[in-house]
Amino acid sequence: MITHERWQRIKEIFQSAQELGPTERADFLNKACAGDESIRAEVEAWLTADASNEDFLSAPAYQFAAGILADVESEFSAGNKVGRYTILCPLGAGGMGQIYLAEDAQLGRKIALKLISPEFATNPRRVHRFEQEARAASALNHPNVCVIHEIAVTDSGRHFIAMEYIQGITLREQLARGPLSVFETLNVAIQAATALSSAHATGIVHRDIKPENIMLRPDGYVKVLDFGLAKLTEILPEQQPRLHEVSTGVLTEAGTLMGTVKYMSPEQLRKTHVDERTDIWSLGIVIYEMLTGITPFEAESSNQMIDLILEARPVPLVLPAEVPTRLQEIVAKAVEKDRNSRYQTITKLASDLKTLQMELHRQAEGDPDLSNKTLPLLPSYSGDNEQKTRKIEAESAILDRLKSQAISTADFLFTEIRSHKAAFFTGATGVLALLLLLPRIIDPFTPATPQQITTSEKAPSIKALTNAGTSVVSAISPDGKLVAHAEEQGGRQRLIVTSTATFAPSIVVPAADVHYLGITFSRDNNYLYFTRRENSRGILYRLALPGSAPVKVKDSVDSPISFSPAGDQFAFVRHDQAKGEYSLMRSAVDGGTEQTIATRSNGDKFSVYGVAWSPDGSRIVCPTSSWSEGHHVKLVGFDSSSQQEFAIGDQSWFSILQLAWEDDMKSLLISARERPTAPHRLWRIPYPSGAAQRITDDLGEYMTVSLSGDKIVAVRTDPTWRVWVAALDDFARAKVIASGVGLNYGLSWAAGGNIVYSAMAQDRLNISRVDADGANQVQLTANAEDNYNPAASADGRVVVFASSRNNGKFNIWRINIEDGSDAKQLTFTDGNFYPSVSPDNQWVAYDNLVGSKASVWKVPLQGGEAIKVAENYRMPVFSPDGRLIAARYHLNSGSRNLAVFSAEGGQPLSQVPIPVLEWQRVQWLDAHTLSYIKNVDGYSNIWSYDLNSRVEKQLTHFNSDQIYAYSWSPDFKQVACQRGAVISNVTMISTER
Amino acid sequence: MTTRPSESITQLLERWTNGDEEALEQLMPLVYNDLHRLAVGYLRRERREHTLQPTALVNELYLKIFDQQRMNWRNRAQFFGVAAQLMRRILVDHARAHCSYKRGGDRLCVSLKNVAAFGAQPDADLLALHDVLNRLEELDPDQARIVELRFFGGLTIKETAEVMHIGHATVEREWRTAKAFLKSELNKARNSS
Repeated sequence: MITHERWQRIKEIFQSAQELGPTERADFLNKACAGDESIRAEVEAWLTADASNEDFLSAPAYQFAAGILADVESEFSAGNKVGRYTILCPLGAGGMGQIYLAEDAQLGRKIALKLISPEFATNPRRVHRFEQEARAASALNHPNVCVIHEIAVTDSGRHFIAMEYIQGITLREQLARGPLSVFETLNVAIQAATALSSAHATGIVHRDIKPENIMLRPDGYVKVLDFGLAKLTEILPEQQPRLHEVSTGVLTEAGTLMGTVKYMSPEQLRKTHVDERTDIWSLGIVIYEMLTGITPFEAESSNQMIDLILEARPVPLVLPAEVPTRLQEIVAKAVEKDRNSRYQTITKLASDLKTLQMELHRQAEGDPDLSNKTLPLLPSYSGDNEQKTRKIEAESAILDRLKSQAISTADFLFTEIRSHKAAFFTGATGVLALLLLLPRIIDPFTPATPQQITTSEKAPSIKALTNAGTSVVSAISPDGKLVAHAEEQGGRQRLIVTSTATFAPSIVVPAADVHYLGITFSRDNNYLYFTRRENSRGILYRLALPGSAPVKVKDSVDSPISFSPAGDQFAFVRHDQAKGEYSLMRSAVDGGTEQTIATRSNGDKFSVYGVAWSPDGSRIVCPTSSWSEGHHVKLVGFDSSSQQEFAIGDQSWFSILQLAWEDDMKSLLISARERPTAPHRLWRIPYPSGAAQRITDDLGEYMTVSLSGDKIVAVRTDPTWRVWVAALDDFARAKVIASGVGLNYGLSWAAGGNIVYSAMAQDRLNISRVDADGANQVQLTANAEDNYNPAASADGRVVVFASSRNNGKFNIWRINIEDGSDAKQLTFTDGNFYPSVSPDNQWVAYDNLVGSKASVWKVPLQGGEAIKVAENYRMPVFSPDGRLIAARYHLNSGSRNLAVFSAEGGQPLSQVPIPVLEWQRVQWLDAHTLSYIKNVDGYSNIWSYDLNSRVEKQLTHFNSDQIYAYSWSPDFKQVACQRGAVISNVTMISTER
Repeated sequence: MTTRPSESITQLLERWTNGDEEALEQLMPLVYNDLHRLAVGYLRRERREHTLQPTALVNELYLKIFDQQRMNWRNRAQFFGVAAQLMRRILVDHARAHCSYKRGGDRLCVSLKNVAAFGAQPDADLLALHDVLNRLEELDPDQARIVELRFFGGLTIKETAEVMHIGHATVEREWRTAKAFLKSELNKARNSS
């Protein structure tokens, strides 16, 4: 062995020698080693090594070590990356592999990551089918469907699914505490059926409906998991054993399979080919289990169980006495063994369940015992609601504490564990592991709402009074005997009065091309007043009840009216479009003498949706809006004698529609949304304190409110939407690539072939990208407030859109289309919407709503100074050569048109006879052709207009629904449309205070 | 074991440099997991593009694993030193486990078949190198450190010079000498096996 001294000598000799040429080197070594052959040998060895040492250790260790590292299969632990996700902790084990809680750092959200076990991925055909199906399922965008964000493969070839992380418990866990009440059962069943209905509409059959795949969230949402995943575990035709083998072998091997058999339809056990009716069967069994706590097929072995399912006699249903006969009938029809005798569509099952639910709510009103059990239509698991059943008390208690963050570690742990399908950790080691994890997981857990909002103590009971689904506005008479509502019929609106005793409707004003703004009964119940817009002008009419020809009372009334207590005067709002002024007015009941109470201008407004005169006559209340770091609406009151203004509460809303005083003047009811994308809910505002209490808490929007005693009448709407892709030359094969419930705000077909759209996801408007065939759906924004009006750049690389992420101000932002990264704020004023990118990718045009006149601006796509282009325009869209802009044009007269103007600004070059819809954003087909949405008979299609020949042409042939937004494929041969229907009915809501 | 790297790696590195060997036990799996992922990604990329870009992987590694910690780290040099040392531990441990797994713990594993290529038997090569490097550490700690930084840490000559507060030329000369020594020792081991 070499000693230190020898080492030093060898090193010195080597270092000197290697600087010398070969001949000098030999001489040097002779001298330096001076007869010490062992040193000389060592130095020679070093020199030999050095001569061939070019590559030795030239690359860092882990490069060659990559091979070693890569061939070791390691399961995942905290901090591991899977795709772009970072594993936080395991959540449980599903049928197909491990599920982890992971973080998507890019979008700053938690997701659930399902890693498919390799054994499921051995058969390429099966994997292909699974991918196909899961991709199709990922296009489902429905509030009751667990969203699939991504299906991909890891670097080491593992398939994984990134999906929405749902906090809550499975129905299985809920059932472990005993059966559910009839109301709870209906609530869960209806939401699950709605989810299935949206899947079936796009041709996806779940195949594995069972309590493990249904999650109950604390806010009342029910989520159905694992759409499309049954393909992986399904037995392929070539592998399918004969029936007796099914009963004896395959299915008995594991408890999981045994668990699944209980919910399998006879045809599923017999054949491989199943259709949507198998889901109806499975849901039927689940409903039975919710009511009884067991399935009809409890048996000692799976063989017996399979026999029970396959035998010809009907499913034995033994339901508790309190289950209504109707529900027994529904369950029996869902689990008919012959699928041809079963419900044929899940939609029919859902609608039967809903009808029963309505009926039970109606009955419950008169029955104090039952009404104590009444739950709101949605949600039934509200953690804030005191009226919950004892079964969910324990759960809620934990979740309440979770919400307030004042929780013990143990609670948090167990909630985290429970929040996924199966408890993964057991015993002390598991708890210890989670304790270690705790401080890190808890970080992103922020309190739900910063605002001080309370819910009313009692859940309201809600029943529908109409079913046409086209109601616009409604009102109840002060004596509660009549309800009036306007409804749309074939694009025209009519006025109907209904007796609350008989529910017999009578049409009092036939359908006409008008738009009803509000309906008000006179204080003595003898007259019906209504405001409607005709040719952009608001006009007030009156008719004598029960029915007579309407008489015009007053022009320039632009809001619903509210009567003084004596009924001799009414208050309303007038909008002077030319001046951009909004005035709160009072007028004599005959429309004669009028007086201005207050005026708002320069962008500040009084609401045109409603005013409320107090029962004692002293106060007139009206919402007022302004733009200041976002759009703010507040309630203000005016003293009716001094006209002095005062605030009611200090809460800022995004929108307030109608409002009504309660008779005792202790509170006001309003229909309002607290932020841009929350639904309009009904709220109670105690007077004068103003601290808002929520009355409704379901998915619906309440657009109007009127009162008689404790009965509230309101129009409730449920918007649904789908994204369709259609080829113009093969229109019959139009296809749904995404769908959902709630708001949707624009889409754009990018040059790269994918489509970006804005729709509700995680209770906010978010932008998603999807391929034109519905594959590869990726949510591009998250946790960034609301995101609207996406427009792809001409090169298809970035998306510009309006977002309220910076302090609630509406600005134009830019992100990469690929993954939503590199977010850049382009504008810094407020009220900016509808961006459009110029064809040369240099500019973004957008509109600016701040100020008394809407204006169009532009800003460089790369960021820079914003330049005002023109006033009085909205929704700008660049022409293909970038020289023109098509936009909505606001004439000083108050009317609106669509127009083309120079991209440099100025007056319109031409005004185009295209219908002005609120969401009408015209588009360019070529240098002289515009396309637009046109509604005929209540549904919309896309038409084109040639600026030269002035010829109009219908391009699409839909025969239902509205088109909210659309975008052309880069070759203009296909179109993507965001279409939907708004189902609006008049509802009566009873609250007990 | 179940800690997220953004918080824990810094703390664990600190603890380890302060002599807490237990910290290393916790640290290694964390870094190992990232390494594993990077290595897999690297292999895929290499196969696809047929280009070797050593610095890319190194940079990626440091960025992904250590970059967040760099800001908190007292001293960049110390950080790199610790990182390189850690890398060595991980690779050697892994090779050891892998070797004994594949060959039933056969000592043959440690003998060298193809030192120069470092490819056919990477585990064995690595373990042999580790042994020789341990000897070098006793004879010339500075040279061993240079090897660790350059080879296990992936640092360039310039970075190594900065980290060690010595001149470029010195690093070049000592690096070349160390390589000559290591290679000749490995050659000896191969010829004798």
